[in-house]
Amino acid sequence: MALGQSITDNDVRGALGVSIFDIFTLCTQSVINKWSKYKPVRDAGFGANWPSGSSGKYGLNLPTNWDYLGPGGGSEGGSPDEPGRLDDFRGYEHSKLLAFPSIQCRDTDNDLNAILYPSNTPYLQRWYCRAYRSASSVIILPSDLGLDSYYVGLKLSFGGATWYKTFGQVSSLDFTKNWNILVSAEIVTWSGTPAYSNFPYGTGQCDWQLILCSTAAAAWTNGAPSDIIYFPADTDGTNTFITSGSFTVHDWIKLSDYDMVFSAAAGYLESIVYCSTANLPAFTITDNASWITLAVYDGETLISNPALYAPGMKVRVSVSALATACIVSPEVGVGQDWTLDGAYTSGSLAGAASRSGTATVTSEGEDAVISVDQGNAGSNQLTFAFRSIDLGAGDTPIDVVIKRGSTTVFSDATGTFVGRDGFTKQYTVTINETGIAGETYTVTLTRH
Amino acid sequence: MAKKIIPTKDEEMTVIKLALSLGERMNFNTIFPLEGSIAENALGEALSKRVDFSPAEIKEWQISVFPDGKYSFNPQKAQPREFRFEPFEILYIQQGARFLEMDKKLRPFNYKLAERILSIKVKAKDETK
Repeated sequence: MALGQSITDNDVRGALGVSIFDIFTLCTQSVINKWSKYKPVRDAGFGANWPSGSSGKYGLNLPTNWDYLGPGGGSEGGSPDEPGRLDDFRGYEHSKLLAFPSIQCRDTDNDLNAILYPSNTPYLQRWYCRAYRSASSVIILPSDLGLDSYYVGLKLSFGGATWYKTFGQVSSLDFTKNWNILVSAEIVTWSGTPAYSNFPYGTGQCDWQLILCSTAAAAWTNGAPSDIIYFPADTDGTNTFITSGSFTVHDWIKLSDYDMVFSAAAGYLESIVYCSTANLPAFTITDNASWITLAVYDGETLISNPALYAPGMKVRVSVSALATACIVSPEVGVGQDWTLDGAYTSGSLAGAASRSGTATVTSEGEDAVISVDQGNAGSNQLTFAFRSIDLGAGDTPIDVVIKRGSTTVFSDATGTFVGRDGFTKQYTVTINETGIAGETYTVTLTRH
Repeated sequence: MAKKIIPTKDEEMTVIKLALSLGERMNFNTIFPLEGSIAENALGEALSKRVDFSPAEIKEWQISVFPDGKYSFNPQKAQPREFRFEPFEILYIQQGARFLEMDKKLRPFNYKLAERILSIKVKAKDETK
């Protein structure tokens, strides 16, 4: 609870938790909560400019930093002329839970990753920023400091350069966990000059600082905006207010062709390797489908699962004769196994002697339709698998309808089945008839 | 060299009334014993608090203090105020003032106050009678 308007020396000592009887010493205690709007400030005489002080910044060392500039002493009429005044403690709030930095970024609010993977996940960083802008008798508001019109942004030291970008103004922030800075290091251009979605291109350590500045930087730029002030760093015992940190942008590797459509006699298809460095560390190729084989070529020289990859190498994907046609989607990411789990299908009835199927995945963003050739009759068990293209990062419920011709043999609209972008899902269902040799079953997946 | 302090009063008192100026109140504890028992230190703290400024004084006297002890105030408002002390309290303060005098540690801002307090002739009551 803040001190009132009628205070004694003892009230001040009690609020600060000290046993000091010298007034100047009391007014310059290091335990004074600098975020309190009312506190001892630098001002001559009896403090005509209190509580904002002679600098008008409420005892804060702005625009340089958020340090507390308490009375500096000196002498009357001298330089400095900054005596201590017990009266400056009227309305003082000692608790940082009640008087805190009005512009802040709490460490627990953010979605920050230690490593970003441009060709994998995670590739996003998100900082949540708060600004307390309501009327307050104890908090120094952004408007008190002339910061309402300032921009909020990031300063990055990355790839040997310094980058700046602003994302909005303090006046658009509130004190809920709402306003945030989102950057994406997802690689969107990998041939030619690489580029990330919303991040300066590069790999390696990235040091970041949250900034306030008086001019905007709408795009990533090397030119510093004006009047940069870094976010305040402190803790109130519950929350830690952060201002800077670092993370790593990992090397990346991509293939030129993600969807390889094979005809029955295609043999093989190739995809060119793009990667961030010629000396990319080794990683494992995992072939999830037994009917797919992989090989890596440097020119026409076969390099089977090399220790180091270089831009321009090729990944050759071959499909076994059992698959009459299919689509594969090589998914390549550094930092985890290289998984080839693409959009394949297998039609299967228990006891079937052969597995053959036809898969068709429509263009991105649309539902997948999978037709299954059923070569042999056997039971009423049907297995299908799919890798949906645009179902989002989480599990998306889907409805499943399986037809033979125009006859529906299975239907589920309860949302039991789910799909997730980038993950293969395989389900075995019981259809309401015994598999018929030579028939085609069409599996239709739609969002629930 | 500090002046020799000569007591000028010689009377037995039970309660001592002492008028302290603004500056004397601010420097009151600078003539207390530097070290003492827990009880003595508690006494020193209680005496320091006794001469604290009231809310009205803080607000109206416009006191501002520099690190060297110099201060300014509104002379039209700030007036000496009388405080009451028990004999044992004066004896405690005198003990500190004497040590400071011996060590030549009295300074201009607390010399006169020390001289005033040392000039008080105190005879503690004999509680056994």
